[in-house]
Amino acid sequence: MSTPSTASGRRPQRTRLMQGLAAGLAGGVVFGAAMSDLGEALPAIVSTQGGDFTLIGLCLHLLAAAVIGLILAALTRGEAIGSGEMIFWGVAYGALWWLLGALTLLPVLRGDVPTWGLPGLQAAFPSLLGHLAYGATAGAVLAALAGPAQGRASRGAVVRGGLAGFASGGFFLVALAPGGANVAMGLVGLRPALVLTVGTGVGVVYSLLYPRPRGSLGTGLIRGFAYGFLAWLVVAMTLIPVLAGDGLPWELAEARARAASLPALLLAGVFLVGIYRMLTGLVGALFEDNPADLSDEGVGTRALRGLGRGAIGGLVGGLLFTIVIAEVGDFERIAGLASGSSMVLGFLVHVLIAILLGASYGVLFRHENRTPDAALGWGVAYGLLWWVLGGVTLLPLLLGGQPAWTAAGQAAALPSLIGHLAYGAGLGLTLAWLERRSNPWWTAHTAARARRSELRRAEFARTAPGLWAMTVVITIVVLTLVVGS
Amino acid sequence: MTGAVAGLLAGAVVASVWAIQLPTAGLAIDPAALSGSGLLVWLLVAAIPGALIALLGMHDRERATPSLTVARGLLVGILWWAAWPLTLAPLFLGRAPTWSGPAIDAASAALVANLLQGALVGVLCSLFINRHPPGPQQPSVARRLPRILVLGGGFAGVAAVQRLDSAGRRDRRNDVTLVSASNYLLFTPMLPEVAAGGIHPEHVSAPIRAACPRTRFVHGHVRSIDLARRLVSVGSGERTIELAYDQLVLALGSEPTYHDLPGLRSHSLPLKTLADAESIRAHVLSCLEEADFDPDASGRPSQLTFCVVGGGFAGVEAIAELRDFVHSVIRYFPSLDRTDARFVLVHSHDRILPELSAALGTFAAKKVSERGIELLLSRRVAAARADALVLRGGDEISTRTIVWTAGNRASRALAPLALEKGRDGAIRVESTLRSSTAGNVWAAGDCAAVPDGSGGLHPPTAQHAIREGRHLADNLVAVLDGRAPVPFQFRTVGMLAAIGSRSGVAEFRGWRFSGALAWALWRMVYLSKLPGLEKRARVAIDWWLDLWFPREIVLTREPPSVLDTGTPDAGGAAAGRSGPP
Repeated sequence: MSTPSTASGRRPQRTRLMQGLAAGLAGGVVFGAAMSDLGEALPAIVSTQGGDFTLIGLCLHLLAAAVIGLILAALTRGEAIGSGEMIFWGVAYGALWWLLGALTLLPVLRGDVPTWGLPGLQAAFPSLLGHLAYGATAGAVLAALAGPAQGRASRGAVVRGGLAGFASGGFFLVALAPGGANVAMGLVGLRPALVLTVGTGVGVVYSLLYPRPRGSLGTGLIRGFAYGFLAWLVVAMTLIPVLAGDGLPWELAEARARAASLPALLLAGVFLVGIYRMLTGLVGALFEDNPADLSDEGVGTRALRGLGRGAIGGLVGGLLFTIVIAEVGDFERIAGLASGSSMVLGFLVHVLIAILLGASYGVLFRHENRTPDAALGWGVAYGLLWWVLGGVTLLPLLLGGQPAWTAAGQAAALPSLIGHLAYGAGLGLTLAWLERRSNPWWTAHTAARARRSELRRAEFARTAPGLWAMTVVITIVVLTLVVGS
Repeated sequence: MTGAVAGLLAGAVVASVWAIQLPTAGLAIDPAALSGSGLLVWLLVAAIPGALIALLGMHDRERATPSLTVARGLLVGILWWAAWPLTLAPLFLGRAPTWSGPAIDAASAALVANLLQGALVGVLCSLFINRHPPGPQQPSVARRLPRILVLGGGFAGVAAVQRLDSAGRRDRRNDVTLVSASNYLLFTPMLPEVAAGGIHPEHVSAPIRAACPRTRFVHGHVRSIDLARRLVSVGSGERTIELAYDQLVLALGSEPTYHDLPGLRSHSLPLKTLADAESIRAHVLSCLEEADFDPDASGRPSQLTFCVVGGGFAGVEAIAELRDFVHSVIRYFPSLDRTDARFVLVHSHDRILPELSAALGTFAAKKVSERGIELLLSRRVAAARADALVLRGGDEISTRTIVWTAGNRASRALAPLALEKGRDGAIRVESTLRSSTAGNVWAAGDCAAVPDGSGGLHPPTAQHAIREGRHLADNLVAVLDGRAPVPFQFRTVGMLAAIGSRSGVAEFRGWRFSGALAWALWRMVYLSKLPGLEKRARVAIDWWLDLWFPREIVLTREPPSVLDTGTPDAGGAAAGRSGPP
């Protein structure tokens, strides 16, 4: 899309920039309020004036926030990013400004050396959450001002979202309680009804942000994963503690005490989207008649082919992961899944799991890996999801323990995190290579396939980059939060 | 390429800027620890993520929006951080990577550097690529693509087209057209099972359009081939079209030949096509129905006698399957008994399955005989009537079912061609599968006489046809690219035959065995060779159901007219039977 150069074309551009200014200001207000709640000499930019949090500092902060919001609007102008994905982009943008602004430019402006070491990163953890909150707010305002990119949610979608949220609230209470998430989040004193209500609300918001699920189920689950992170930031780390009168627990020590809530909500987000997609699919199958949605291949052909290719990808990714496990010496522990303790058994169990997960990826992400970066993006996101679901949840559970959701538990599983990222990259690239061999998207030889390819392309542009960026953001937050705990 | 260079430069510049501020941040390695050439190594390593980011977008036809390229940059940044500072750099310095908290602590500055570098390179790439967007990847219309015309949708033709399809995907584009009288690829080795109702007819056939999605498919009969004008006339009903070609591939297969024997064409049932197999099943069921209709009729013995002529794979498997079929369903006909049914295999040689070793052939003959199948060896057919098969010497077998598998010849469409021919009208080709007469004509499969390098010819089997088709395609592409074609070489992997009642015979490179294992192997091998995953699943389900339930006796189509007592024909010219070439 070319940049409009006519007078009539300049108006939308100006409108977009005004929207960016408003979004930046809204984000700045949230950021500033949060920082003042923490009682820190923040917003950090005030410190460049050598003063405390004064009116001048506040103006300076809001000015910077507005300019940064304006840049966000300029960068994303003309892009068909969905409303919900705009929030993800806002969060990722906030994280980038934390790296560029808080950790690099501000120290330089103050005449200091940038603080990129872990102590510097962890000291700036409240600032990280502040930047994420800024980005989420700016993204949400920008999306709201720009209007719904995917249409408005129907009443049925809102009901389905509420039901899915209610179910994920229940899932959270029943299935996730053993992991200590409720304790960590201070939910012990809260009534289950409140959790279910909050869950329902979170589900309704999801349906408003992503009313029409498109793309594969796999990308939907990754969206749920990212949405779970948003829920962690907004609900677990902000609303609940503030409403409970505890103040914002954004300092590193307090956040670590609540670290178990992060995997819990990431999984709850995945569960929510799974239920939402299932309900939507059910309604579509029972009450809607849309032959255009029918695939040209049967489900069986599609699934079997995806299973086979995914299994091969899983094997490749699993062998990459093997390097990490072999160095760490974790095969004996994995062998415990088969009631054994030998290295060979552990290796076989590991490879089998890698193949099974790869097969599931092949089905869930079929036709999503059409470019190398898409292969990396979805593969790494799936790897991270399985670090949370498998590495720190199911593996400890199946070995007779509790999910390793605490900060210390997650820190102990850091080698596994790196292994999962490598696994995802190997899996995604291999599957993409296999798919491109037999069905390269650029050789759509019929008009019908070209149309379908174009629809997928549009959906890809709308959702993929934001979700990949969220994968990186979640990894940064996990690393900053748990390393050294 | 320009994108890659831009990414490389941007990566180097960005990393260098950070290197000046923080000498150890980008790599988690102190350049001083890298000997005198440390800075050069440092710059090279720092440039790699930038190049990767650009390279990832090289094949990407998406618009390079900032969101896409920055996300790509962040992804590469974090993966590069996991790969280099956390893993490879320690190894480079002689330490084992641990990926633990302390290791991540030590590499945390690199994490920030790599992420910032990734994001910045992403922004630069977006700016650069949007200024120089890649053009749409469309086939060039200025250069006329070589027109390759493949005649025949059997094993050889489809294998050749699939190979050409594959070559097309590797950017060696060709204009390929496939002409076939049937719009499916038939898996002929399973036809006897279809004739016996063991497998659903559609399950042993795969649609050609799905198998060769990038090839133009023409459903029609080849009416004439003009080698001089390089035109092929193709008919469908009353309409005819002409297709021009630069390279012609003949893979029209074979069709039954009756050696001018009187009555054979009218009163026998061939087993070459899906329609043939369905006709046999319908005919057998109608014979059983008629026999049950009037138990006292004089024609009852002929109705319950089933003859197969030809003791090769197709004939043996057909008679064995027919016996299993009749024995499986005869319980539904109260007036009939298993002992009423008679099964006869007529073969002109002294042992059946001549493709196998003598020992295995003898074993198969013994097993077949034990099941009540009469073997008439070294006997030749003289004629056929509606109610009898006449053998040379005057013997007659009273039967209304004659399945003919005793002779094939190359497709009739090839007969007028001024090309050198071999036995049974097959096109004589060089070992490269190119016609020895015309340089732009190729042939493979049953319609080709392919020298095996030792003075003989490659046998007309499915496994040879598939390999010949692929090899032909490779040679054709080689010739179009100006390279020399390569001789076809293939040694038979093995032979398998099912002889009924869950028994089989097998021979693999001199290793012979028989019985249930051979039968199971037959099924596994043929299942794996079926075209397409879906078909394999369907046939596997058919077989699974066949283990648990009797075969279907529903008669949904009229039996063929071989029961009619018309004037016996004199064989010879074909009467226009359609089927896959």
